[in-house]
Amino acid sequence: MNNFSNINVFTLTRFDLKNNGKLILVWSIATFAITFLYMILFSSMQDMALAEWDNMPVEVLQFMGVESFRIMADYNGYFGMMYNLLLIVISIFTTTFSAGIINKEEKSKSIEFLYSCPVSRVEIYVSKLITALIGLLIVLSSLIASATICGFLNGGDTFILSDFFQIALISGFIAVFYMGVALFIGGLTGKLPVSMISAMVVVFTYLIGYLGELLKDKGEFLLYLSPFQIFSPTNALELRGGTITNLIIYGIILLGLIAIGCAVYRKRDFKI
Amino acid sequence: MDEIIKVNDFTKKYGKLTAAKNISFTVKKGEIVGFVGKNGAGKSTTIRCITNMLFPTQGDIKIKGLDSVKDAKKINSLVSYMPSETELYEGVTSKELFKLVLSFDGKKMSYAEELSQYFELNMNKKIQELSLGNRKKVSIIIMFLRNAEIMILDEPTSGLDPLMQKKFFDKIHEKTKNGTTVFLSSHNLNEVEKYCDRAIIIKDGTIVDDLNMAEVNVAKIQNVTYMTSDGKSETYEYEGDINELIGELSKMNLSHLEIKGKSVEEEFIRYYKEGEIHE
Repeated sequence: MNNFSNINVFTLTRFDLKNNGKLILVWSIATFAITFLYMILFSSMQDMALAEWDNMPVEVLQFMGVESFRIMADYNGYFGMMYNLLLIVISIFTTTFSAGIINKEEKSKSIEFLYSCPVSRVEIYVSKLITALIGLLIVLSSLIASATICGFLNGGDTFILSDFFQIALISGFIAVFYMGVALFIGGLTGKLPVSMISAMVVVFTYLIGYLGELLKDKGEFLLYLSPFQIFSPTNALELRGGTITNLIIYGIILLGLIAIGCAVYRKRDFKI
Repeated sequence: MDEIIKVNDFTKKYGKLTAAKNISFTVKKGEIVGFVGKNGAGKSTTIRCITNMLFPTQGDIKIKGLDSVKDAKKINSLVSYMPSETELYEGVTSKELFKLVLSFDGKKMSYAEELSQYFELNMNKKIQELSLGNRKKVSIIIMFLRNAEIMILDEPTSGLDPLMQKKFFDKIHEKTKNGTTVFLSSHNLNEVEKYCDRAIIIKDGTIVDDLNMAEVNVAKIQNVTYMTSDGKSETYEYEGDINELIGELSKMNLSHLEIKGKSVEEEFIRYYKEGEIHE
């Protein structure tokens, strides 16, 4: 008997998605609505951006992940500013969701039922990974779809579809990375409050990046510790600071974390 | 292969705490073996190591010659495991759970419907709407749906009413007639005595006795209490042929006689009260 069966993974994933369907749906609708309500205001914000907002303190601009509010005159810049903040929320969603689906089984002891089926631990872990990824992609897609619709409605000449998707996809990797972090921690232990720890990692790394921005040259190294800075919409659009290289490095780290999480999950006691 | 489950010098530690210590036993094909001990004695830990939920600290566990750690997935396909906890997915119906279990083996729903009828379960209700007893039935049905040749059950009848307990054991006997091997833990010593071929008693993480039920029932120690017509009374333990005992007693002029067989329950209580370990 093979130790890995695609059919088993598919069956487990389908079951997990059905179990968590409502949560994913609620998050998707909420993300779609928030994005729509914000992006539909673009045309009225465009003039204000040019006129007044550049008097904002520089710290506020750094916290928002932008260099100037003038970018709000551009649809993609306006989207990037909002996207940067919404990605924190989506990253917290994906970490709590990913950690939840893997650790809830142990907390509720339903893992005893699941593992009594003819499946392996690797199949369970991979199914959780796929469920988390699908859940995240659905929520991210609803955000991107909402912003795309608004772009066609009121983006005008500043809505450049290729640039928009470049920002959406490269910056969207931030959330995918944190999903991997949560699955890694969930694989390592069933004892700790993994959802909370993972969410704290998101907030902590965001603040590290913000600190790096504040400290400028002295704290430049801090920027590399924060995916929010490395894959910020500005960097994603302009492909500055070796964004593609960083994408590859973080991609390798992500795969490494998932592999280690899975390996430990295979060999550790379930917390039951 | 005659030895279906072989636990060899198995120890499980949680940090400094030793939950199971140097445990060894075997379960043969077609046997129903009861695993008895009080709460915290190490029953569930042992069962969870057999089913690879936990990893042994020392020793090895073989199921049909397969290693419980290295061949976990193969073992999962040979074993129906029923956990003591009835925690399932609250938001789904029993029917959905049955479908999930059956989908792994490519079987159809008709058997699930048949079992639901037998155990009187409405499988269209969500798990969160079910009582403890009905949740237990869901676990039992899932275990039977797997239709595996080895059944490992952790307190399968707790929470079930006596009628359901009987139905459950009738079904188990049906399976063992076809060669299924059953290893179950229980607090209910009467049911172990009634339905099991052997009873393994565990105390403080160590096996203290392995009773063969056939031998226990034949060579049972009898508690004898009598009173003669002249007022003399005596209570004593008798071990031997029951016919010889009756022969002896018939020579006396008795006004009262009570003969009560010693049960597994009394043996069990003796271990726990006196701390006596049979070598």
